[in-house]
Amino acid sequence: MIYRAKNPTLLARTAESLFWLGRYLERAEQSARILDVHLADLIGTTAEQRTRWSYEIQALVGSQPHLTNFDELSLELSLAKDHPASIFRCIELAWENAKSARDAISLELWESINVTHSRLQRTFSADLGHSPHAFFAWVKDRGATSRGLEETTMNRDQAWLFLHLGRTLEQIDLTTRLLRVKLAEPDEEDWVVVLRCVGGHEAFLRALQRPVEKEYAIQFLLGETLFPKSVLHLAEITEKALVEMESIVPATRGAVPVPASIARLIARLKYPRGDELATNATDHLEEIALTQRDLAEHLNANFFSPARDSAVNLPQRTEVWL
Amino acid sequence: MESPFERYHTRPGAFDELLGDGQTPNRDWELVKSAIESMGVDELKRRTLECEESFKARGITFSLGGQERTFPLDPVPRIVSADEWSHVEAGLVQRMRAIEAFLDDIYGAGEVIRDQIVPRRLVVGSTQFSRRSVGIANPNGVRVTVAGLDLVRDENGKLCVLEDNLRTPSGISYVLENRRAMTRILPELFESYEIEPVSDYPSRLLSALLAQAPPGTADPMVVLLTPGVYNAAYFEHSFLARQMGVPLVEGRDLFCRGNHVFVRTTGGDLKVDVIYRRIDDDYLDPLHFRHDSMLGVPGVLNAARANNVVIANSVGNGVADDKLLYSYVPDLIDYYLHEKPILPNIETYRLEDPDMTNYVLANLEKLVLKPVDASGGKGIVIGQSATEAELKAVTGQILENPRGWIAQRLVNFSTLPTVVGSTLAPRHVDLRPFIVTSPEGQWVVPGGLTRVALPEGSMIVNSSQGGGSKDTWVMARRQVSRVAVRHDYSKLDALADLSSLAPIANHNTGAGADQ
Repeated sequence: MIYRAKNPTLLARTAESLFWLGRYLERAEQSARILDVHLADLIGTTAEQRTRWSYEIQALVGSQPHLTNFDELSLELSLAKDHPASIFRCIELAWENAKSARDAISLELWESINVTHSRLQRTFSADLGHSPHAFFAWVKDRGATSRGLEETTMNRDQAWLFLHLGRTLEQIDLTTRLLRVKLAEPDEEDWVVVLRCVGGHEAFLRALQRPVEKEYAIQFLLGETLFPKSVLHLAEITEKALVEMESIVPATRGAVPVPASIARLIARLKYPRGDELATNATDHLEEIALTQRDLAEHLNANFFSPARDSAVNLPQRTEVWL
Repeated sequence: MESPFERYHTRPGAFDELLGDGQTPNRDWELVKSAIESMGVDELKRRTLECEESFKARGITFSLGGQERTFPLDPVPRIVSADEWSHVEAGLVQRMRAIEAFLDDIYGAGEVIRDQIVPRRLVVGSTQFSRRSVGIANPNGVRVTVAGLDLVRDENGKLCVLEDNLRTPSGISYVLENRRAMTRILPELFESYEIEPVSDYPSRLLSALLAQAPPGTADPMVVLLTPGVYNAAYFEHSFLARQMGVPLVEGRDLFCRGNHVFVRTTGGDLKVDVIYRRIDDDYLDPLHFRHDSMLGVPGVLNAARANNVVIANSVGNGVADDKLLYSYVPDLIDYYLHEKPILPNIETYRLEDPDMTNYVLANLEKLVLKPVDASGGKGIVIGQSATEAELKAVTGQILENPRGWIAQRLVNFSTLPTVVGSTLAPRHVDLRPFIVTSPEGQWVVPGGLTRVALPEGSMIVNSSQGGGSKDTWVMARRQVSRVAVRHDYSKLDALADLSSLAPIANHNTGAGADQ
């Protein structure tokens, strides 16, 4: 006897929850890494430098710059319950989406997210405990755990693909935002910090075997195939996932499986003319932004529920049930 | 060490299920007693705590005021003998058959009203009566797919019905999860006892739902409709959906087109045939009920009326679990089945008669007052323990709307040994059995959810007010002697190539500790 594995279709809402689960898990980890990197480099910096970093970090996580004090900022971005980019909020949203997609993820992944969420609520609701570093390390660890469980305990089915796409697109977002923010500051000297924000310093040294310089760093972040967080590498993963998706989800809405812009972007990043990745970085960032928009439209139009927005303000009922 | 049962006693005025009448020792309990005695209460608590941690990690929780809480499990099980259970089972089936007949009648011919068994004003005056449901006949004749009745054991040790819950009763997930936990807390006992399994529930429910699909549906699609992740019982919804292997949907996942219901998926829109809904009538269809509800599906009621989709439990069941109607159920059993009720009701006073109201208001301290259409213990006033102001308020409400209230004799629920500190003490319990009805008939989960009021003397078992739960063990009819199976392990040894585990020869491992 032989069998045919079922690759069950997902509810459109579940697909979207999985996508956002991936994004929020990734975002929580990124925020922790960025804060940790800057915290470590604070020692011996000038007040001016600190203020600049505070503004840059706020721009990086997409919030209005309003805090100049790094400590306040780091507390806000860690634990503020109403800040849309705080680690606390990201984990809460990840947990909500995991709950909503509970039947599509593995028990072990769910348990891990659930434990992270409840530990955060119980232990870290007011301050970061004895050391901010320990807190950030904990968040990164929990992130690594959920990533590992995703890889090892889930079938490579639609559910996994949506989760995976969420993570990938979030990472493209971060790498490009990082470049945009740092390039806006023409005097930016410290490209080591920039690389470390995406965990890329060690990777850079290993791949290039030479000191960090601005031009190299930009090329590395945009087009290095060896580096898993370069835009090129992430774009290739995205393309592959979309092709895979096409083969397991019957195309019901007559769409193109992969938006042309992503294929074009890959070609540009893979075969640049000379050092144009570095000299022409802003143009490339522009193109990446357009591709991101295409991808979002592609997912919304083909897979996700059109009714998501209408449900944002559902009445929350907490009556006695038993 | 002193046995934790040494000082265990009966609470005055209540029946204790372990000690019984104090004359005949209950043989079913012997093994539980000796197991707990030999391990000690502290070890029992340690094992329970371990299980509770795993409940928390897995999210077996309910949310209350934005917090995730576990429903504490007391590790001392409740034991129900095979004989008593077959009596209870027969009583529950009988009651459900009468209730099904009643619902069919009032949403159809209305003979029970014409024959003056139940007054018309009681039915049409119920807030839960749904005129829109008149004439919607489920093609397969089942209206209460899942019922969860509340039983209590009175002062004489007799099980009585306290409430009928026929709308969206919850708690079954705890029955299944508690059983799983108990096999880890007291594995010894599962070897010695023959306990009726409860794990059939999801497949029984799924079969009942499939069997109700509109006629002519080849491969019916069943979905479980939840209000969403913020609902207190969301864990249960997602648990049941996973156990049955059906999609867990929210209102916004469904839509109606041409009187059919569809679900939006990544593979396109799929037709839905049966909706097991866990949301109230009021929120089900904004076209017909609450217009501001975002939880429901506009048009689903019309689709049901056109027989294109089946809603389970049916719309309008609440009229039959109205607490005033409860007092008529024994009459209904007589009327529809020509049988005597097997499970008695608790004495209930109808307040529409002014003389009765006067009597009740004069004797509030002996009575419990309940609003007729609430569930989950909401609005209940216990005369004995209520404050002056509460009594005054409820008196005012009764005089204003006598149809809205009933009074019941204050029953002392029976007690069971429960872990308190480092010993066992009697605590009051109730029982919620679950009955699944399919076109072929009723099936009762053996046992059900035993809820226990943890504070001393309390009889409030609700999870939100200090309630916990216990596993309910129904003894199997026949004690089957267990046959020990002998495995031949020598073959396994031969299969494992142990040589691969030997240290690699060239590696100098000798240069360490030995020298």
